Amino acid sequence: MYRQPKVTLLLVLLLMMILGGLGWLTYQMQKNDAIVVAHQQQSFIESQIQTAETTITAYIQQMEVQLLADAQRFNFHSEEGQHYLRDYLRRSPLVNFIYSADPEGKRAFPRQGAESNHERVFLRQTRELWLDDELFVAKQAEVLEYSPKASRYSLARVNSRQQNTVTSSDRKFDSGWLNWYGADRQAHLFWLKDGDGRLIAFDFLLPRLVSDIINRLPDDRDVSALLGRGSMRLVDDRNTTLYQWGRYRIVDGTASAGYRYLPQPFRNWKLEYYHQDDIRSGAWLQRLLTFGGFSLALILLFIYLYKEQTRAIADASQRVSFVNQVSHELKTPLTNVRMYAELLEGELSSDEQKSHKYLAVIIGESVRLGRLIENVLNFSRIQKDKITINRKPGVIDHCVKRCLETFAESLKKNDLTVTFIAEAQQEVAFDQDLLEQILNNLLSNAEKYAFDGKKIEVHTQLNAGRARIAVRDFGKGIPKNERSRVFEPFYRVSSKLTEGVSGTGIGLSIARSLARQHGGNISILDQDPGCCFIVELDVSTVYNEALNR
Amino acid sequence: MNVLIAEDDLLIREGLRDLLENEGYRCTLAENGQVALNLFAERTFDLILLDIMMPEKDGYSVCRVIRQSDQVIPVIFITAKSEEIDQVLGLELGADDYIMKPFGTREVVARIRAVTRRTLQFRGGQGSQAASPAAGKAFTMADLHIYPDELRAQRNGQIIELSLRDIKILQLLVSHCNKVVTRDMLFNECWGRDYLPSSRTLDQHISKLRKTIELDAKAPVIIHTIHGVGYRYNSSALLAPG
Repeated sequence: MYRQPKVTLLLVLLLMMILGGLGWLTYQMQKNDAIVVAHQQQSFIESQIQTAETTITAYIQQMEVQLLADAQRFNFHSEEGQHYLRDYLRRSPLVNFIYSADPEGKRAFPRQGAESNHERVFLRQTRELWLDDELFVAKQAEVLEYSPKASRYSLARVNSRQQNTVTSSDRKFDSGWLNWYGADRQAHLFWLKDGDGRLIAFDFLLPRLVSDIINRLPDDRDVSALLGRGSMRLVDDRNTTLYQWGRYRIVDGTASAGYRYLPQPFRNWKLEYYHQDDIRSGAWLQRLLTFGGFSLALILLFIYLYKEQTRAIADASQRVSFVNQVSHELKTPLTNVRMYAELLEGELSSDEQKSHKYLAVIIGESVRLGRLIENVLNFSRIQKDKITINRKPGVIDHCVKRCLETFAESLKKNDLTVTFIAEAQQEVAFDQDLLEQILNNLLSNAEKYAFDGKKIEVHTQLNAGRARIAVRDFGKGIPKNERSRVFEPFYRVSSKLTEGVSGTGIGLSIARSLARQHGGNISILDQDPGCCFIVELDVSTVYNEALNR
Repeated sequence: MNVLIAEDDLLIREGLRDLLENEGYRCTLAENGQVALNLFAERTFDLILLDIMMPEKDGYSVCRVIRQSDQVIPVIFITAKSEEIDQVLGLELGADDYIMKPFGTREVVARIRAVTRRTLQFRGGQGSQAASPAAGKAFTMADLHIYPDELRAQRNGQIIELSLRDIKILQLLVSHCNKVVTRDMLFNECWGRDYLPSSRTLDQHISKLRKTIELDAKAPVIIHTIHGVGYRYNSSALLAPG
């Protein structure tokens, strides 16, 4: 399970990055959507309010036209005219009072002395209005002035609008609207002034006005289809709800989604639009579920992949430890075979030639077997990075000599003679087993592949803390392009030479790994004929005190 | 010298015993760590061979316990894995050496002799004569110089390695210079009362010893055969071969 934490971490990191990216994207999409929806709603609201506004404007215009026409028929001088006016007032559901003044400012209607009680109140309330000529001049639109602390007769000039109407009898009228605040009510006046300066003003019954407006606005049935899950509300200047329509129940205190002030003369009345938020939340939930579902699928996939990989590694690890286990198991019987063979050899008398020879074979083969097992174990140790060096004081030449002696028999069999130039006779600290392993592998190779060369030369040297052991054979050699590859595990130069020769192909790879662990290396020197392996070891360090009592 | 061999594999245990007895050591066997500790408590040993992987108590634990009461006694570990060696060194158990399976007999013998040398020299230095009959001054036989404490002999600069028993045999022959040393004497002195070696064993050993120290084993100068009785060393050997 080596390096497992790293892989796990990497996988988790990758997963989190993907999910994070997805989440961010979803969030962005959501935001975008919200903006889009907000825009849509905005335009929808705009159009709704526009529609309502248009309706109201049309109504007012229509009313103005009507009043103008009515005013044409007024005659303030004759008795009939007065009757007509009274009648008109009585009949009109909308007009509350009519006031008229002649060009000099003298009141023409209600006639002096002929006022009703209500009219008297009205006249009293509006007395100051009539005195102010400025109010009845058609002007451009003025800025809204609103004075909340209205005194009894305060005025709020809301807007004046210039309107030129040309009548059929060529009488030109100026007209306008005036909003004024009485003690307890807001009133709207529509005034007309003819070319001579005669003033006619209409005061309206507000409830009726409001009701007329409301009647022209869509009712619940129409609105539900149009507004969806929203509502519209008409409020006056005191935020009193005059009218409300739509399915959504407006909660007090919530801000409207949009509003518009009405055109004059109801300039400080508002049309407000409210809607439910759940349009947004609906889509949001769906998206969240999608994201959640996808994330879950992704997580499951990653868990599966992780498990698969863990299993693969566990399997590999098991196989490796099996190999290890077996190799160690092999060591005990092998130890016994060799030890008892050697003991037996000691029991034989010198003249039992054949017995000696047979025993030599048994011993030799068990030694070889031991080397193979050691190779396999080293190979797996190298894979696991578990090679350790045990330096002990010794003489390199002695170690090399021992190896050559061990190989003496089989070298003789292969008709190979060894020349040993021993120039590493000082005592240094090195790992004898390691050097033996390396030499065993090199000599075994020489035996297998270079026996036709008849000769092997071994040359040891010591120089500045480095030991150099050259093993040269005179066989067919290794082609230049294969030279780096021969150190790869399992790689064997394929040729007629190697076919049929037993070997695992791990010998050189192990030898080089070992040499490198010992602070050195193995390289191939250009030689012709044959092949020369140079083993270098670092022998400069201080040896382990524990074994030097 | 007494050796304690603690190893759980029967064959290895007995093989090592045979090997060391040939060398001249008296061996006591233990099949697990606990038995080894019990034996260590009951008797004195000059050397301990410890397998690491053993039932009851492993080699490390045994060594630790031994070291609590004895800092001096040499301990050699028998290991199967190099990881075990690292542990041995790492734990600083005071091991003298280790041998790794699969080992050759020559390797074992070399290490045992090395440890024996150190022990003999240490004791020689301490002036204690008690438990080592092999301790002694150097002596000469013909042109051979023998150094008992080093388990070595030398002739003209050439070094010959000898076993404990070999030294004892030579010491016996030299101390009875010009006199016959009987088979029984050899058995008693050089093999010990616990053994009942056959005549063949003795002759074989002498024969091997000759191959080691004589210039020509077939015409021995140092160890002469006295047929039917025993062997003899003649101080005038240089002059009268045969």
